[in-house]
Amino acid sequence: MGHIICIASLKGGVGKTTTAVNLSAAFASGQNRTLLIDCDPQGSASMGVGISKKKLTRTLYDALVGTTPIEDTVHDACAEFLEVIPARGEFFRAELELISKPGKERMLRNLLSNIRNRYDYLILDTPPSLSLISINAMTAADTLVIPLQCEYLAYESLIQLLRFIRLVKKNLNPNLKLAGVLLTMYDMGEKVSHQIADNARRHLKNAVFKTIIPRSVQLREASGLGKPLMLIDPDSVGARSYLELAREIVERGKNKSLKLET
Amino acid sequence: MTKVANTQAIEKATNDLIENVKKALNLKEIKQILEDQHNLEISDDIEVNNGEVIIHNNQIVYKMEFEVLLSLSVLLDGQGDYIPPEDTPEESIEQLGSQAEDIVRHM
Ligand SMILES: Nc1ncnc2c1ncn2[C@@H]1O[C@H](COP(=O)(O)OP(=O)(O)OP(=O)(O)O)[C@@H](O)[C@H]1O
Ligand SMILES: [Mg+2]
Repeated sequence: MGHIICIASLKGGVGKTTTAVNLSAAFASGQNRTLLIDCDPQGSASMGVGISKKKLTRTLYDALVGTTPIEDTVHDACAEFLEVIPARGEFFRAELELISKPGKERMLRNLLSNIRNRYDYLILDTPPSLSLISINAMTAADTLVIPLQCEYLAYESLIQLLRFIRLVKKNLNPNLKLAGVLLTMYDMGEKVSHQIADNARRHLKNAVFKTIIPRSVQLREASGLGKPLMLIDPDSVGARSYLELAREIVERGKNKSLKLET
Repeated sequence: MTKVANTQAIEKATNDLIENVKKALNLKEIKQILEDQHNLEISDDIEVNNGEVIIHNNQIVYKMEFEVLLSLSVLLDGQGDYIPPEDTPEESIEQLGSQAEDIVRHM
């Protein structure tokens, strides 16, 4: 049965989508059957794997409101072993339409239970908010990857997110685990990057991934080209960091106990 | 008491000495020292006020006094209540780190 990973952060622009896209590509490149699920109406993850929003007929929205079976919303993406359930603007409406339904927090979880055995990894990209959609994604997930941009404000919103996760775990998804906090946009020449990284490692210990995603122009440019960086320049530092991250997640999955060593 | 030298001449010599010390001072360096000593930022150039010759640890030393212009501020709200200064970013990430640690440990 596929492992469901939710990429979450309350702050915008911290590298969620970049992580979702490039981590998916990294898993797929290891011949893992991978499904990227775009839970953000901005549809950036869909575009990031080469989906043109104009040509789309079926998206996650259709599955959530019940007009299309979820299987039929799956599209081929730009790489072998990689598929995607896309999203686009109308997804904003899903929030309103779902709000009055019973079990509204578990809709995505129920939908995915129909298809998760077809995949090794299912990766959820989420919007930067505490919306019903984000709750659905956290409720559907087995583990969470939390990108932490190496700057002061990001650290503040990490606390809010952790508190929120605690609530979701208590009320909706007791099995939810933290795969890890991922330091992103790390800049070796920048004092604040060092400060955040040191501090996070000191306090959160092995809850922080060993892998660090450096600030990389190539990663940024790849997102504009609608391709994971791995497909453009597999030897680049950015592509290799995400491969490393994929390896680390697999390793951590093997020794299931992810308790914080204190 | 028997005067053995002219008072005015001695006073003048001492004043000249202090004046010469004043001229020789590296004000930029001293400003920095004062800022570090008192942990503040001096907004304008510093000026020497007075100087005297004193004994300090069995040595003749010159004690120079400076006048500095500081601008200091305090915050208060509409009720007139004092608002304490914000923590520095370094302090606040340290706090945030401990908070996060607490939550993660129980997760
Ligand atoms: N490691 C990196 N180095 C340089 N630029 C990056 C890196 N990761 C992401 N970016 C760029 O930063 C911007 C924001 O990244 P991304 O879209 O992945 O963040 P996000 O958290 O998904 O944002 P949102 O909250 O809006 O969904 C994008 O332009 C992206 O290309
Ligand atoms: Mg995004």
